Amino acid sequence: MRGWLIDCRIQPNPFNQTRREHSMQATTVIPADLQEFMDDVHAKVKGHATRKETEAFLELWSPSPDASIMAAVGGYCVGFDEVSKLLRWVSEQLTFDTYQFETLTVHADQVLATSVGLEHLASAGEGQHTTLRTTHVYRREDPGWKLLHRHAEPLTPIDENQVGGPTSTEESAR
Amino acid sequence: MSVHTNHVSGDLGLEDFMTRCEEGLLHQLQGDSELLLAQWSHDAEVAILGAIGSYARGWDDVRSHILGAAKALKALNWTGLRVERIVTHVADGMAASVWLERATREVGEPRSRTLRVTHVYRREQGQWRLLLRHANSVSPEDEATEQSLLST
Repeated sequence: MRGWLIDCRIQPNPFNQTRREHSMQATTVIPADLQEFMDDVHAKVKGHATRKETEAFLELWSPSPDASIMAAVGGYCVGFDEVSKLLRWVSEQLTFDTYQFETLTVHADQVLATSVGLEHLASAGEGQHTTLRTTHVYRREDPGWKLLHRHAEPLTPIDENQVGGPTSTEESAR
Repeated sequence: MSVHTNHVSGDLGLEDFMTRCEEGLLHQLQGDSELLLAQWSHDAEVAILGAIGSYARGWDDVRSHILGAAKALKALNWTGLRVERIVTHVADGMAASVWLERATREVGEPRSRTLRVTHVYRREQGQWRLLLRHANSVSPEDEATEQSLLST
């Protein structure tokens, strides 16, 4: 069975928090350790995408069987073993030179948190560049925050044809 | 017209809410956004990265994005939606679900379309609300490619 529900109450939040002001006059309270972890995630994604430093990125992932990824390559993987196998394969395909992360929104609670942003990737050689829409879900585990889920694919302009999506006359199994 | 789901229960309030979201998504596929919009938080930092492309942030823009997508969807005559839940996480006042949405059309030539979807929910005044929807279409070829590389 591929679906399950995880009750992941673990431990209370540390007291040290920062308040992030957003342009829409709303405020999201982001624990200081979460902000530090998200900054580390962006640094390690950069290493993964530009220098094939995937092992350092994998160290930030939850090693649990409910970790998951919907990567830009398509499909999905569940469980750290599948996630790590996919990311190692992906890193061999990537040839980007630069990476910049742009935060759109962050929501945080005691145990779960999420961030949404844009990842701008470019390669100097052939002028290749892309922007990924990215959602991350984080979970506070022992001893700290871990990346639990990543969903990313290229940002595209509004295209009403896309609501139809690529269609098939056959149902794919996965 | 039908909604099929793989039910996995734990937090009954969340389970009920996710079922309402699925019903709202079926209505959305058929061009009626009302039920789906009713599930959203009105927070200034809600966000949608919809299958139609681009993104919207803040309740007013998210609402416009959903209404715009419904107009386009209505013409496509989707008749069914099956949600395949992959994993759901819940802790205290926040939850996240990862699933596939398979829309089907049985009018004329049968067709299907698959979306990969991440939702984030928050409990507000005792009621779960949608905070984030990230959805993108994926082709059977994409899925086959990934399955192939994972089997090597």
